[in-house]
Amino acid sequence: MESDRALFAKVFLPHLRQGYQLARWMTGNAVDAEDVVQEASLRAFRSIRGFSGANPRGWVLAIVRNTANTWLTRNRADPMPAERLDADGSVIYREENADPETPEAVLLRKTTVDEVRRAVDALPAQFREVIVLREIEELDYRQIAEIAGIPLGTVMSRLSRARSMLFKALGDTQ
Amino acid sequence: MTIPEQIYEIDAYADGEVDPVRAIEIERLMAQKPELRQRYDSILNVRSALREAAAQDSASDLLQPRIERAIGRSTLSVTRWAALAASFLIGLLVAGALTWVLFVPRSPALAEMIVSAHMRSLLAEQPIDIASSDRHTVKPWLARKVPQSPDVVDLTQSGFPLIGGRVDVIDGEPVATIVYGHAKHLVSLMTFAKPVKLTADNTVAGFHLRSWSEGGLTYVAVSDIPERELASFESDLRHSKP
Repeated sequence: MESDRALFAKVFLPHLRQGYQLARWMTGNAVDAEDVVQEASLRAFRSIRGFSGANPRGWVLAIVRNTANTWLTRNRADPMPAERLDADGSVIYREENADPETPEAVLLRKTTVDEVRRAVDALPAQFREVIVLREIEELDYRQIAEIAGIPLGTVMSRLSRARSMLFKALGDTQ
Repeated sequence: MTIPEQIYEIDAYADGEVDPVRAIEIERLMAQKPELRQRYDSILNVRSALREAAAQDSASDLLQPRIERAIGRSTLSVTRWAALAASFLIGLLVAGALTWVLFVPRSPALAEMIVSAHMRSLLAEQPIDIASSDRHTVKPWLARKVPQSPDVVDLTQSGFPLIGGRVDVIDGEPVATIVYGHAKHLVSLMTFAKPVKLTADNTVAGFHLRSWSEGGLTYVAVSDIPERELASFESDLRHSKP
């Protein structure tokens, strides 16, 4: 029988970089990201025997994601006012972009790395995580739904909404 | 007002989530409606900026060692041996420094050196230099490093899975050490070309030692597992043939 440590090294460590990246973008800074990843690694280690063996990357990212959310709840007030979300967490869309003929701020020039980082940091957490899982971790909708524990339709609506918010923020900086 | 259905379609298209037939329809739609085309271009623009930004992220090289240390500390037994090891090492340092200041450097007894090597391995990021549960990997690796390399046997059936190997330096000599796991504990098995004299009760700082000779080599097993389990480790080892 493999030791827990050996199993952990085989399952968790290969996805350390991606886990770190997810934590880095969810928390918005490198120092907190390392704390989150360490905490997540302990959670993973403690439950390593319960891991089914299928999709280790998804398992690792889900643990990092949950740990990051716990961290965010503890350390930050969520900037998203509750009334903008309906019961299942999907968006009740109003105010900005209310005009369907001009749905987005148009990005006419290339967005810089610093701008996009700031814009993602400014997103409410539940939108930030879907955009990071999709664009940075390059997961598909089904995988995002599993990791974030939300229905597929909510993944799509949050992703669309997150993009609209990003485009608006980035458009405004021009 | 909900996000127009078409916006979802553009997003799904940009995310590679639509089938080829639908993709052609969406491309036609984008050709007709510039605002949808702009949405698509914006998605790609932000995606490329995000990936460019993410490519600059990298965890500090210390993150993985830090995690491994945290994992090491997280198990009860590890906490115990880390504490033991720390107090023992501090004790050694203080004693060593005092001795050095007052008299002359002394050389610690062999048993202490063996336990120190074992404890150092527990405190290190990796208790082993080569990680492998395959004895055919560990043996040749050790053979390249030390003059007398022991047979490496697999004791997984007996509850001591092979973890790997490392080279310790004991009394100025490189020594082949094979590392086995047992529950959450580790057993270091060292091989010496000459007889080894241990302490009377074979215990140093809470670690147990067992030594036996076979085929011209002397083996010393060291671990914090209970003495009788270490004894059964010895007997399993001696009764198994590589």
